[in-house]
Amino acid sequence: MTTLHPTRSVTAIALLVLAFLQIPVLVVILASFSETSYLTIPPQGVTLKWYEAVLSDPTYLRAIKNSLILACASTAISLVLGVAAAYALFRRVLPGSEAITSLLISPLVVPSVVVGVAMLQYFTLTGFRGSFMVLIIAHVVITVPYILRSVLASLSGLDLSVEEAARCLGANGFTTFRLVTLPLIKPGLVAGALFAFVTSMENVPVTIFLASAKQTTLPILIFSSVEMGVNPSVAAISTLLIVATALVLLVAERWTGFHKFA
Amino acid sequence: MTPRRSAWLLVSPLLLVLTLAFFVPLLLLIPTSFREYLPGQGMVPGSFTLENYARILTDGYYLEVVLRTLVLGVAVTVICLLMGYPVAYLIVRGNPRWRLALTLLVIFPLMLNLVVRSFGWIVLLSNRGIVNNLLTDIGLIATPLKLMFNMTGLLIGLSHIYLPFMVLMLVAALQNMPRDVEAAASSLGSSRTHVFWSVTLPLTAPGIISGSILVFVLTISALVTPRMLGGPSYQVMATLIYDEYMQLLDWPSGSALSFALVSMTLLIIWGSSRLTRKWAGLA
Amino acid sequence: MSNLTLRNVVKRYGKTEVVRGASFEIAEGEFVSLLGPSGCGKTTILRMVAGLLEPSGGEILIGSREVTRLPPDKRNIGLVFQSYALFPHMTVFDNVAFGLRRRKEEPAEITRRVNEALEMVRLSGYGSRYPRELSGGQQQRVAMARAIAPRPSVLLFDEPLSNLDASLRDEMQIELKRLQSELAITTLFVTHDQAEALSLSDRVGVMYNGVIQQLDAPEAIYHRPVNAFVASFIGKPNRVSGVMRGGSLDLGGDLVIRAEAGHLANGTAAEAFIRQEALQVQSSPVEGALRGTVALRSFSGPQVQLVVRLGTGAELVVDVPSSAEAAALTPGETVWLGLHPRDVIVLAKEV
Repeated sequence: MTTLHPTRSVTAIALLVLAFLQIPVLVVILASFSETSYLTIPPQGVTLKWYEAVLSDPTYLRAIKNSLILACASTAISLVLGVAAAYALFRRVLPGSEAITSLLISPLVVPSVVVGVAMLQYFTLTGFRGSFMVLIIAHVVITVPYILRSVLASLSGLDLSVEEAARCLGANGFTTFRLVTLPLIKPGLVAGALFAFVTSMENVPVTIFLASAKQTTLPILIFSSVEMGVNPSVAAISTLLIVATALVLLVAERWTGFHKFA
Repeated sequence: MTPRRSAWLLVSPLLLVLTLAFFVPLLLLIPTSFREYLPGQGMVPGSFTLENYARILTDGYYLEVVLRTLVLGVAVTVICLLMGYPVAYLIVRGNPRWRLALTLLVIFPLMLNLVVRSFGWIVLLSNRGIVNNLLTDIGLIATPLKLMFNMTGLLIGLSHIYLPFMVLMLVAALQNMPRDVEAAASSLGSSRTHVFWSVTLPLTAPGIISGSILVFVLTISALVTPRMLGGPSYQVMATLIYDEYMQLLDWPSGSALSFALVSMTLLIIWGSSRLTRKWAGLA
Repeated sequence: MSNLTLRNVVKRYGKTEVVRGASFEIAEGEFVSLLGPSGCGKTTILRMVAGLLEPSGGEILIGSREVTRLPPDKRNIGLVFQSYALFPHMTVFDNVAFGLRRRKEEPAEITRRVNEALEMVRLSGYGSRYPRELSGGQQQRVAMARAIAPRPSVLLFDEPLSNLDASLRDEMQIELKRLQSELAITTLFVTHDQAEALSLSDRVGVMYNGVIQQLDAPEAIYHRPVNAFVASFIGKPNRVSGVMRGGSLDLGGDLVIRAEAGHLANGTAAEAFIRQEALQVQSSPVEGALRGTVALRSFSGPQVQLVVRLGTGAELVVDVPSSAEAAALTPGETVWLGLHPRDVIVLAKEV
């Protein structure tokens, strides 16, 4: 015998747990098509009116736009800053490279709500609060550790002599990075960027302290509208997010074998 | 340019951004936590008091919130571990053809917007939610069960949110485990159960520990799910910090509570890394 | 193509000197190996020539151009790595074309020269494969094709054959020799395998402890080592010590090894290095032979190895063809070891 396969009962329990993980997702999707404002099992009637309501509501549309701009901008900036830093740190030519690395990853360790209140006070005192740029920078702070981590992991699997070979064949430092290093760390890069994007897209604890009413993002909007009670338009917009997430995940999996980086 | 200089050049932009937008804001929170706060007037400039910290340990309400947060952290960690281990085991040791699909079923909820996931639980658990409706319909209960705004709701919601992290950590640990050891144990006459308790479990201990630390730290810092499923009355530390800043405008007290939360997480992480290093030294 | 010159090149890490003043010149088209145990500094020299390491002192010239502090991409060199270092995300064609593209060659010229290089390493038709689809030996050939395609001034090899298994290694050795003589590129080859170094090179530099002990033709290295390290590192010679007397080595106990070492004064403490194949085993007394007893016998197929203990207690290892009469000797028997004075290397004992 070589491996101990899971017994039937272990398999059954595991499948139940996996089902438990999907339940809220299914419930949200069902609720978004329900005629009644409270979901019943079985659902009564099928309607698309909540989707109509959401997609014609300027508040929602603006929140979607804000979220996308914020996530794209902060992911792009995090990518540039994170990849540059990871590339330098991985070489360990700097004194205390490890310490610098843990310093740069530390925003992951500090509870987001604390990051949020610290930034609230700081940007209020400096008078920058309310600027969209501040929001972008705040999201760079919370997303960059993901990129740093996955790029460092990718780089650690890189055979350094491949870069040296490129240099010997006449490529300068930047060309080597562009033609050899970058393609080889692409899976980690994509995974990191995806995590960063998702983190920015779902962030509440930092955004809520910094965003003005006009800058409200989608998660903030859902978060605060829930305080008013369950509303099926929230289910509709949530379902759209679920579909988008599933698509992105499948594409990323096809493209890079994403699950290895999770 | 020397390699060292170009390395500094590559690291410094990020270092600068994080210094200006993260480290300095965090450090500026320290003096705030020692200021006096007068309701209606706000922070008293130049004042110094330890009251904000003392209150966390003496005031009954604060103490209750801190304890509740810790209990929640431990309970969610235990639940995630118990639910996560079978899943991780199935992913690693089950039919390899199912591995990718099962893994994606774990990652998908993880990638899904936190607000959406919490909202799903509201649809399920609220007074007129699916669970209560269903139970009333089949006549099991007459009045709706209270599944939200209490410990039950937070336990269910937070366990669901952080379970994927635990599973992924355990999957990594099971994969890194030397395979032959289990075979060796069973060839020496161990039963399945005995092999699991005496070999598999101890060898995946590093993954169990790091998964538990992660889930614990995430749970005690969580804001969104506790607020959405606990409402404004059933507070944990993170939601209390949020209210002190946004509703009460009591920044000194909020920042003291923030540092209490930060020190709790750092203490856990530091302690666990010492523990695992000690274990690694033994191995 | 040009010659390669090193002048007093030094590499220091903190206080440790890894390379202590290497000076040598490789003529145009010449094949020179650096041979030594691991950690002797041979790879450090190669990496400094490539520009992957900056020397702490001295200068390196390719042709008449000083390149000491130039980055690798400005040196026009070809380097074949121990790990091959092929670009895993590129096809064989793109790997080989990489250097040509950096030199901004015309696409038609690139195709022509890539095909030419692949033909030289006998991999025509493999252009569209990926490195992972090739065997170790094939990957090795691609690495060579990639290095030679841009026609570098100097070709560098960093233990290129050590990742291959024994039979493939012999084959690649012949291939390499053929390629180098066809192309006549100035070559620096780093290895720890002496057979490889001796058979491939025009000259071999034996390195130890950061110093090139001797840089000479393979025959000279083998037959006329300049010091005990070179003598004992090349082949596995028997090593006996004694005192000089009239150009011969007196081992004491009436045992004298006749040699041609008149340059060493009488009374000098010295060591003789005798290759195993230079000794003839006889079962009857011969004039000038050393008397001893067979202590051990081990059979390895084509050869029988005998360990012969001399009266002084020193032991000599002798290889005898299995078919020879001496192969039948058994432990305890008395034998006489004959040897020609010409085959004895005598060196004054180093203090």
